[in-house]
Amino acid sequence: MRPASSITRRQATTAIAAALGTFAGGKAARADKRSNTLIYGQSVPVTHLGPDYGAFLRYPAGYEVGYVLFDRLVTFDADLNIRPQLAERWDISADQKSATFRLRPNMKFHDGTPVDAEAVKASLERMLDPARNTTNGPIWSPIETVDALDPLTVRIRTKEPYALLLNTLAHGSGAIVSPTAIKISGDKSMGMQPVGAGPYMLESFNQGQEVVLKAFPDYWAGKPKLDKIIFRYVPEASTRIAALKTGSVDVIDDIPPHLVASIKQDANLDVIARPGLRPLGLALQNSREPFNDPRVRRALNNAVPVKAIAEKLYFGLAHVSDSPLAFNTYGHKTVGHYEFDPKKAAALLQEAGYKKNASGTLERDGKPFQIRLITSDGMFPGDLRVAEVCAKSFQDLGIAVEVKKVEKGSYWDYLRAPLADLVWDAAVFGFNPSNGAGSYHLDAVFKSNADDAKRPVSWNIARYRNAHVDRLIDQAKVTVDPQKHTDLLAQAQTLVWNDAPYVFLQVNDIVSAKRKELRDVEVWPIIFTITRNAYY
Amino acid sequence: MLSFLIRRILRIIPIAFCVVTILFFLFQLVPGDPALLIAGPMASPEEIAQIRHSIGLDQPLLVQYWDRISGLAVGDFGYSLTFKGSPLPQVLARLPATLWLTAVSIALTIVIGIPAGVLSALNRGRIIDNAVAVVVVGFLAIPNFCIGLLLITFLSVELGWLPSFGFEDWRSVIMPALALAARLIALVARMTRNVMIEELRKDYVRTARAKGLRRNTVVVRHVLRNALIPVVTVIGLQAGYLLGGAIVIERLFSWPGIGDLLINAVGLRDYALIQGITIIFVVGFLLINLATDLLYMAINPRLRDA
Amino acid sequence: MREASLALRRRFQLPRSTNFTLTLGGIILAVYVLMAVFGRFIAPYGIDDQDLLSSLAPPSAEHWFGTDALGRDIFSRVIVGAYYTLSAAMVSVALASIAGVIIGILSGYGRGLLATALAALIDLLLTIPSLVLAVVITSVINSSVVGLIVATTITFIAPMARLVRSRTLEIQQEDYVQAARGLGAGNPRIMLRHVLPNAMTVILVEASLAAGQAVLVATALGFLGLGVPPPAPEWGTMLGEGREYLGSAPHLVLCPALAISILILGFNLFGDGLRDRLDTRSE
Repeated sequence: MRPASSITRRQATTAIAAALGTFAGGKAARADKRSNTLIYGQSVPVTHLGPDYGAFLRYPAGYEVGYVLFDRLVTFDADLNIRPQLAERWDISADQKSATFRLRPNMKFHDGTPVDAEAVKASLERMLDPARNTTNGPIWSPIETVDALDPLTVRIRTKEPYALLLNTLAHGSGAIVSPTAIKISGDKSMGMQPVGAGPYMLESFNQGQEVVLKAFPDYWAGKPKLDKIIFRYVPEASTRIAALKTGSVDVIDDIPPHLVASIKQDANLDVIARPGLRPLGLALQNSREPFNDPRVRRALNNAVPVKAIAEKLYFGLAHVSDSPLAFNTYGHKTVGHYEFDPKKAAALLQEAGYKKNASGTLERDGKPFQIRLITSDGMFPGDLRVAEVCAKSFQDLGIAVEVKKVEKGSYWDYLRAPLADLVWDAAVFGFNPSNGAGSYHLDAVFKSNADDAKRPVSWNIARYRNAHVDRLIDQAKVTVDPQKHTDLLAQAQTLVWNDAPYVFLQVNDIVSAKRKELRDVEVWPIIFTITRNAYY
Repeated sequence: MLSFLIRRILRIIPIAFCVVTILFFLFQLVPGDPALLIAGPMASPEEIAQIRHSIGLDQPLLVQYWDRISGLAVGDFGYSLTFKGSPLPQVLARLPATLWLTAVSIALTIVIGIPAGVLSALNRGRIIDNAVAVVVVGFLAIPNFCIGLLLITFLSVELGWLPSFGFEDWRSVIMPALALAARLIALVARMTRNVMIEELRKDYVRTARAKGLRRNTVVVRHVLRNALIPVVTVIGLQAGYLLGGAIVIERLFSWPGIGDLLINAVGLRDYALIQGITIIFVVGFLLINLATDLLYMAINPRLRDA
Repeated sequence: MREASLALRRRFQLPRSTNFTLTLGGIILAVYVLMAVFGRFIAPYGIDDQDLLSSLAPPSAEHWFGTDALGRDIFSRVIVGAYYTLSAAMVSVALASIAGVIIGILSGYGRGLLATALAALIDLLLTIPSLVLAVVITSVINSSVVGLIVATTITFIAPMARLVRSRTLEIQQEDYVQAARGLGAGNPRIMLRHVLPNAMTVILVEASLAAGQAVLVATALGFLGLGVPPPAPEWGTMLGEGREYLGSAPHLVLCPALAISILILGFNLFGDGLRDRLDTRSE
């Protein structure tokens, strides 16, 4: 059987055209203010533009294009509050198990198909199908049915009251796609030929290199302000910065902290920094020695100079964690603080039964305190450096630390290995709840696994177990009242913080930059730089 | 002549197949499941099995090998993790950047190396000869990426003259090409110098001088022609260095060529992509060898009949 | 090179018999060997002494070549790091030479299928540019000191083998080999007593020069992030990390770059000097 991959003539022609373009001068299209085009140099390539079958790869670049190409029933604003989009208003039923949305009249998709309730229903039902929705299943599974009551009204029913329904609809995967396009081009066509109802439509897509969008004149909110938005893959941070300075791109993302100063010095450029939603830390293997003892875990939290790390390693573009959740996550509450106190750490370890032996390493019952710490190089900002600093801090206490650098391509495999194949005791990790919701974050990372021996179903790679926390998370999911919902989350956060399943480090800022004359570029805490409202 | 050319070009094909064979069996040594990498961390066992079937991983080894070899003939390089499909279009899109870098490096080698060698030979023993000798020793000792780092520090950071990253405009290629060419410049300068000194000693030079021809005319007309042969040889011999060095230089300068892509592929363990790029490097190497052999024959007509 | 050393010799009025390049090369290598062996005792700071508050400090009296991103003294790390590069270069060239000699002699001397197959394999491997081969090999092994040595070794086997093979072919034509064969000496005996010793001069010179190349390959792999994993103070890795900070702290790359260049210079001088020495002797 032949391996299934082939180059179409079209791909080859595009490739050669792009090649000739690079040969001629190094750019496929230059930023030209007169032609009212925005060029966004992204740090990650875009390989898939549909909300299905993998959903907007790779994260976050694909999502950033998706937010411009597609409209959804509701959307986030820059502070992750819910705002109307395709739906102009909505009501939640008394039993909190259904929500009815009123669509705006006279909306069209890029191909002219009207945006009506049937189209919305078809789109959302695709997301309820696990065969089509292969990556974002968890946030859609509580939804039971979607009905079109009349051409402008959609009713969504959930099995239980679902507190995060609006967050899910605002998520990238809530993109409403044209049913006509699916019928004509095929079920999987959205990946390469997306047709949505957003302000900009697809002009061309050179997979992994560039996406060119042009204004959609029939957009329901009026003609968009720019003529074109171009998303281009520029892998190296220094190249992105150079390109921004010369003007060949207008917006860039993912700026490493130590390069921010050079942008700030340039009067033509603006730096946009916002705390992200991804708290970085060291996941500890809670299910076995030595980290099955909470005193040991807490001791390690006292051993790391988190403030110095945030200020020196990240040049102030990071903030010390005060909760298992990030500051801007919905439901975050300040629940704790681990003081940098090596003496206290040493005392806790002693309490846990560890004594220093002749060569200075800690021992308990004759067994030395040894851990393997894994990290990747660049998967998370400063991960390798942070790992080295933590390793040193632990070594100063008398713990033998072996640091292992894992290539990015295999890192998830290492993190999510089944218990028998697990080779790490501590791993650099941060989870980013892409719908901005604290309950999703806690559920994914801290809810007990069904079976610790197997791969974690979601992201509880630390194999943390706390039945009380589990109950709180489950309750919060079905509590729609915001106050009660956040109270439950606050209780859960406090418990998790005190159990210290991680060494909690910091929340990094998301740093993007743009040319000064460009307005209304938003940076969302879910690591998205949103260009759909931008103009000069 | 034509038959020679055809024979050499045809030889590339079996060599490419042999290299693919070596790589195929080499990559079998790697533990881990490619289907798992493609499916991603959240995939179910059924999805993984499905992907494994669609890429043909559930076939016996020799069948997979045959698929790979026969696929090569039609440009099918397997399934690239990075591009979720054939790596060929993206590799071809990046190839011109690498070609451009290599071409400019060769041009710089000729434009700087030969005159340096000539100057040294004509001024043998004097300051300029020793100065060139010192620079030659330096360029041969300092690795190309170190030279690149130094160039960036001085020409870009301190003076701000040249862009140091990416392929933005015509100025972007200068530092990378210079860093890559440094070693070749040194070798060519040295060899040109030595060959010229040999030639200058020969009788025909003395005869021409005695006839009253100015030294420089003699140099240009006869000596340089004979000096070109070893220069072409050097470039041919150093083809491997040029292609290999391009990888490091591309990485250093964020130059968007296939060398940079190769490093990404290694980091992601994207073996289809690694294989594809390696084949291109091998073919490039063989083509450079062919080109230098042809040039060799063009310069030295005596060899044409051989 | 020879001209330059002659000129220098005349300038400083050194006696004719002194081989300037060989001596200078030898001294440089000796210093590096000392660094590799005794590094930890010579270095003013520990390689892991982090001091976040004084990170990225430029060269000063306390830190001769400054500090890196974690506040560690760069000079100390470079001194201790000599161990990695030197061992990678010397061990890999030694192993590659041994393998190259065996393969080269077998493929040059024999007549049968093995010889032809080995010759074809050598030529095939030679079509892959050396750094490309090294990079591809790192993609199938783990990054570690052993991995680095394996990748570097394999890179040099084919060139060494090819050299030995062509020398073997040359030697076979020599009179004394024909004579020995005529006298009834068996092949292994000829290989050991005649071919090998005469190929040695070429091998030694080539090995010295190859060691310089091996330093380049090993540090290039480190620079690309494919070498010994952090926090090992390997020079190439330090350069790779320093590259990120070129805009704000260019001093990070100065010390490792110097260390690498002078080491390669040492190997080059040593190899050239050795070639001069052995050539004059055999004349």
